[in-house]
Amino acid sequence: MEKETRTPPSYLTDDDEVDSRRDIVRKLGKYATYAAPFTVLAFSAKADTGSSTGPSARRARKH
Amino acid sequence: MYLSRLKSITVLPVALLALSQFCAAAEVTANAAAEVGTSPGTLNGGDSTSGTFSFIYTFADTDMYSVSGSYSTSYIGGTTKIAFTTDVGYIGNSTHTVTSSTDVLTLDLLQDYNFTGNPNGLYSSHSILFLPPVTGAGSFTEAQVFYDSQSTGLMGPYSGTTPQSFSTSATLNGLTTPLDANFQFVYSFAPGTAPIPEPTEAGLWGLGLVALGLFAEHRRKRIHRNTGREN
Repeated sequence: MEKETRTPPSYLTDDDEVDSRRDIVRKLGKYATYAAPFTVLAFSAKADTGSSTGPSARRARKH
Repeated sequence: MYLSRLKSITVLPVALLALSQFCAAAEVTANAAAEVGTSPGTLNGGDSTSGTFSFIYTFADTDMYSVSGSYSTSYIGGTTKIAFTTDVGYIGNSTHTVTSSTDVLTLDLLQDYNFTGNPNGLYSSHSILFLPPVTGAGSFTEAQVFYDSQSTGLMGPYSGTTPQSFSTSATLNGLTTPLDANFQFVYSFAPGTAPIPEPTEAGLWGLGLVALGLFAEHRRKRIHRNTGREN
């Protein structure tokens, strides 16, 4: 009786390794895009701000 | 010979310019204690100054706050301008817990103007206020601008975490030269205010989430490939 030999599913071929790395790079860009808004919010300045100017000349009344 | 003469001609104006900016520099205080500069400088017509700051303020109860921001002031074309930006956050205390008492932090930007002509007139102020999302109930922030101790109107108080715009104006009389300007932010942090994460810490969390998602996607694709090979 022939004995079936099965390749353990955990091993990948060389081509699969290359494709896997390319996928990693693509996915990195995809997830970086998703995370970018949150990262920007984390690093963005959440500050109170204000300004004041003067004096402004009053408008002359029209008679 | 000409190069040395050129050097001597240019050094003096540069020195005078630097000296004028030094004299015109503004002062930033936290609860009346100087944090930037030691006294408000005086701007003459055509002068302007700006800067950034960052410091830690510690209350007597050991509550610590990170304070950072920027300022710019100018006196150009007969108009005075004072602008102030502050970012305040509670970073913890000696026991690494939330605040146990109310902390009131008053930040003042002080600038004097050597006003030519009559400084009396209409002064307008504007601010955008909001609180960090982890402040205790009852916390608030407000802003106010004073010219020779006369206010253009209180902006706030505001307790929300969504930025809110405020505008005030007032016709001020009896102003003198030099004109003393003071842009003031007041923060009142109620008990229960939690420490805020540092921006670097939050950024690392974001990168960690990216790495987790990437690993999950890679694992899913590997399983999908192996399932297809077995069939």
